[in-house]
Amino acid sequence: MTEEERKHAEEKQLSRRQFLRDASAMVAGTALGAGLTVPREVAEAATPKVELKYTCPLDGRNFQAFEDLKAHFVHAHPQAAAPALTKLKVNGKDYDLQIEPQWTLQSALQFKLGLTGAKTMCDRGECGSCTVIVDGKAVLSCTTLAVECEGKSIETIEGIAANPKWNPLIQAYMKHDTMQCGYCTPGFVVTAKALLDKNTNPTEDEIRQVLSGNICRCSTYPRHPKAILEAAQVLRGGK
Amino acid sequence: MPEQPDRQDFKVVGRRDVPGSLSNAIATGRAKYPRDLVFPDMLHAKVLRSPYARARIKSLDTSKAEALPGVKAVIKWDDPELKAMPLNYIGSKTPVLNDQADREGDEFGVVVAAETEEIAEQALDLIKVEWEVQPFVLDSKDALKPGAPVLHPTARPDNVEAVDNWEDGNVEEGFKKSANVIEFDYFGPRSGVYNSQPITVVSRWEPDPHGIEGPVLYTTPMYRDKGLPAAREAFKLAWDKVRPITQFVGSGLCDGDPRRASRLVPLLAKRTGRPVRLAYTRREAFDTSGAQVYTHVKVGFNNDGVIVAAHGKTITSCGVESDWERNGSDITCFRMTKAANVKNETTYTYTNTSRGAFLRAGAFPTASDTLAIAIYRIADQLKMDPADVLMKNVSTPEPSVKLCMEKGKAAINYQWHPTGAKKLANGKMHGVGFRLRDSHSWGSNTAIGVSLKSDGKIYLPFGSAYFGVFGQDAIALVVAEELGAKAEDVVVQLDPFSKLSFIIGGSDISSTAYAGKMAALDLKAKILEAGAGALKVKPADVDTKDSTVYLKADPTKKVPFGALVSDEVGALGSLSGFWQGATPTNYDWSTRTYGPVNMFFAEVEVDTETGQFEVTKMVGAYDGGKVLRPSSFEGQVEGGMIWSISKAKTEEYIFDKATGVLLNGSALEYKPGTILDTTPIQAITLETRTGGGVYGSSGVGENTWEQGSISCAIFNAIGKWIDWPITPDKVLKALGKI
Repeated sequence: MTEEERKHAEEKQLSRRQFLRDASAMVAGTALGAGLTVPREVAEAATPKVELKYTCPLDGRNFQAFEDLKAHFVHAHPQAAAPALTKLKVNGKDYDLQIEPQWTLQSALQFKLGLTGAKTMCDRGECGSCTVIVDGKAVLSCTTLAVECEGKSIETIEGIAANPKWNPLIQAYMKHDTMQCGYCTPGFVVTAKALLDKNTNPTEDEIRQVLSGNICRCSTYPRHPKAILEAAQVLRGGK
Repeated sequence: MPEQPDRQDFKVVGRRDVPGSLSNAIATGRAKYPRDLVFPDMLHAKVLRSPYARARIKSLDTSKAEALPGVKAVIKWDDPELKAMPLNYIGSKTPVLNDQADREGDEFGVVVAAETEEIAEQALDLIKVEWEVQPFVLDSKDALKPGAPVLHPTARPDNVEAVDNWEDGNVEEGFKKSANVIEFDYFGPRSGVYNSQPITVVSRWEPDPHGIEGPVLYTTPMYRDKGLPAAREAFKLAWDKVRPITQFVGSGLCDGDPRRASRLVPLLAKRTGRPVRLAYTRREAFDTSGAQVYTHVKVGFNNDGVIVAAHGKTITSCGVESDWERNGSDITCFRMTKAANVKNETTYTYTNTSRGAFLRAGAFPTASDTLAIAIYRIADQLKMDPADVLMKNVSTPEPSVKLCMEKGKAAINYQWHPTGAKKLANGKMHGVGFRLRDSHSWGSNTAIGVSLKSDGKIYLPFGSAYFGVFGQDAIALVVAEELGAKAEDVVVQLDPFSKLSFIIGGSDISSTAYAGKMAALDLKAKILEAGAGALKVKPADVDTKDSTVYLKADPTKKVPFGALVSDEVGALGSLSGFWQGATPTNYDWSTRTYGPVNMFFAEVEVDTETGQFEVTKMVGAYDGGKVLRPSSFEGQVEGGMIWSISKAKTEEYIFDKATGVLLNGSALEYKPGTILDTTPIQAITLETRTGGGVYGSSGVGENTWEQGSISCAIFNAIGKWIDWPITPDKVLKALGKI
């Protein structure tokens, strides 16, 4: 991208305050913001620029280059299997990451990419807060090994939020106060998006069934079907 | 003094179309909670936890852990800097890190920091501990028995944390005058917060950003921000040298304790010179619970159902220790009745169980389970409608109780039938129950400042940890209302360094909003003066509307707020309003004063063959005095009802009696409710303008769950009182089927 193109792209983005103002106006009105431009920080959050470092899992030493880590293994841990890089495609961008075999996808997203929308609540596949979409399916990233996801397409809440198509879903959540403390909310939104990918016109009961694996301790449950039904209508082109 | 209802016309307060200031960050996953924080070169900490319900460390060998590559710090309980720290936190009887553990899972002995969490865990495994395993006590009643193990022998040699005894009138005389006397036992199990975010503390020290002497500790707050003063006290830091990294904390739900980690993690960060993160596992986060409560209640009443006397003896447990001196429900709720003779005897005990927490004020003394049960028992004995019995007894039925009763009954389609008298076509037994509770506002000393800036926005600095009650947004609506500003022109300015605009809990919003109103009025006077100057008239000639100052005589002549201040050098950079003081409250149990109330109704169907029951409908008729932000207000009422259902069905900490080990420390085993457990619920908001907060508003959130309505509905269905959680085996046992 040339400097001019970059500037043009930036100008097309909105400031945070302008976005919030527009979002408020949209929420206040009947339309749920289909086509609203995504603010820059939301767009950029989907594919973070990360400064990768490489850590020896055996002694914690850090290296700036992966080759240096491999060399360290030859000298310091000659008996151990040398680490390998894993290719993860997250929100459309490819990353080569040093991931330990036992790492969950949630850990890899958080500690390697700084993507923290997939949250740890139970760490046992019991609560849905860490939900991401892998090759079109909603999965629990706390019970999915990161190395299993090599070559697969991983979509997180950050990626969903960065896609203007899903503005109506985000805004419906805002409109109905479909969050309290908010810790579990991204997991619900990702689960809802996975449902709407497959079923553009779900019933309330279908929504409840799909969300039955998501725990909201603040108990916002009655609001999710409302928000999702309303978003689904907008996404189908209704009002 | 409670503020008199004043404003009648509301343009902003009560609107549903102003989204929460943080909702976008939350819904898009960008909101950073302590557990999300990742810093370059961050170390990971783990603390030794007791595998025993009560044990002392006889000896500790950390040499192998210290030698493990990747381990950067090992701090033992006898570290001089640790020992010099004041006791752990409010209510604590033990040091930050002790050689004595008083519950299974207690953090004690040693804490380590390492390059990775895995290495930290390995280090803990390499620590050699010689234990002195000690006897323990789990049950509140057992804690008072002679010879019971004593948790805090120096501070409390009898396991009694506190007593609360009082008497109105003379209950013995009252019982003599009563035509009927009944006695019953009430039990409340330990149940937990299940905080959405397992406790996580992240700390780092940095040079003062302005070059001022002394480093700054950046650390994570807890609900009610108590993590910050805990660190400040420990390191003897000036107030401005401890700053929160984030304001998001996950669900608080009244569990506000700083944990030991609030001091251990900053210490590790100080020793290593690197950021340190300590993240609880979900199992470790089962470390607090509401109180276990035993109450024996004796009630005298006449044949018309009017209560003459009530006497309650309560034994309740704060667990291993508690941040609240009073952490159990009792019979204070009888002070909402006309009964002149009420006697309360409550003993708070220590046990080797999870730490006592406040849990959405479910265990607050105003909890009214015992009153609800008494009303249903009296009604059953006299074959009366319990709704009639309640209305005869409640001391101030007009307007709030009467309104809640009327609206609630209509919504639940209340048609009273005697106990065990209604069998449905599906073979199940039908029951309906209700309970009454006050909608208190805490009131507190608070301060709020608001400023008009040159962009025409009014900034409301907000410094509280954000735990989900939309309090800052409700206050922003009040500020906009009083200023005559557009709702979107009041900006909630997240300012973690500010302790202006501070909210303790959901019940505090209405009173804190009072401070917001007063600050806005202070600012409005200045805006009017500046606007009058701009229009070359007197302040009395102008007013405000839609973020402009206009001439009353000719509203076309107006000046926007933003034009009244300027960023030009020498110009007036901002206009500010301020208020500080004690915000009003609306209850005083010693004088039997309370404000608006709320009533929850539950309808159940009980399958007497399987012992299962379903809450088929629940209604929360909640008088909020004046509802500031309806959507989030209703969200609190809904949340309370769903908690009630979840706790009625499943929630209880189960400890192994032989070992004192918690047996159900996971979501699967503890079973917090899901969306499928959420039966049709309806929040009805009522406004009598009788609360103590701004515009006669009152609190919501902390008084929205308890056991009464569902317990009474089950009783109405099958004539049996069943302790929570109401599990099928208990139902079948009560029915004599197993």
